[in-house]
Amino acid sequence: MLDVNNIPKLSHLSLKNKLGLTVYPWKNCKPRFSAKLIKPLSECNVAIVSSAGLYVKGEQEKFDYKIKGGDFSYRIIPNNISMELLYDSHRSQTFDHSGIRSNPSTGMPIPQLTELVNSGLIGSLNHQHISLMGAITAPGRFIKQSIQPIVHILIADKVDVVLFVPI
Amino acid sequence: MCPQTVGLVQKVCEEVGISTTSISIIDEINQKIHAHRYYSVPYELGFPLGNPKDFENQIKICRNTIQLLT
Repeated sequence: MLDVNNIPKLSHLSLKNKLGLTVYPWKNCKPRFSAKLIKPLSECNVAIVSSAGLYVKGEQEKFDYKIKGGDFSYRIIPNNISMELLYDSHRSQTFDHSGIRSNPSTGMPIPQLTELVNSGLIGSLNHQHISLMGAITAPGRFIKQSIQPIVHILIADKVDVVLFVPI
Repeated sequence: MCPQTVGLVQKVCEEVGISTTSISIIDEINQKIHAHRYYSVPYELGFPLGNPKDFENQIKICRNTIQLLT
């Protein structure tokens, strides 16, 4: 059981939300085996997977906050996107949205990783990244319908490293 | 739920041979879900890279998270 009362960062949550997190049947995300990075970071192609619920305004649909159990779809974010076009549609009210609304790159850190490419730490940024809306309380459809297509995109793009950014 | 959502994708990426690393805001949840690899940040929910105006610190968080792979 998750002892949410002893997690200071969750102290603002309502009793109902705390109780929900306590009894929630969390999934085991431990891989059966793990990948070994076989080349230097300076030669790696890096992609971002963010759960900040960002979408490209004017080109993509918002994430749907009305879907029971959470919107299990994903959005493709081009690496050359202007940050001004990224908008927050995350449904969760358990966090302060002001950060990603004032600076969407804190949820999709393309400019920050570009600096790491320029410094030589990583080889390249992939030409596209993945945006999710993390408030998926019933992950069955996400597991069955979304994860494999996302991973296939990363494989097809020859991505070596994924940086995950939960919000 | 965000740690679980990205953790589920992280799991499959590792299993198909893609190396992964994640930012962690609430370590207790990442421990609960057995997330594979994560860098703990001292920030509140909604601020995975800290102060939205501090670009240099944001780069540092990304660098530290990626360097877990070395």
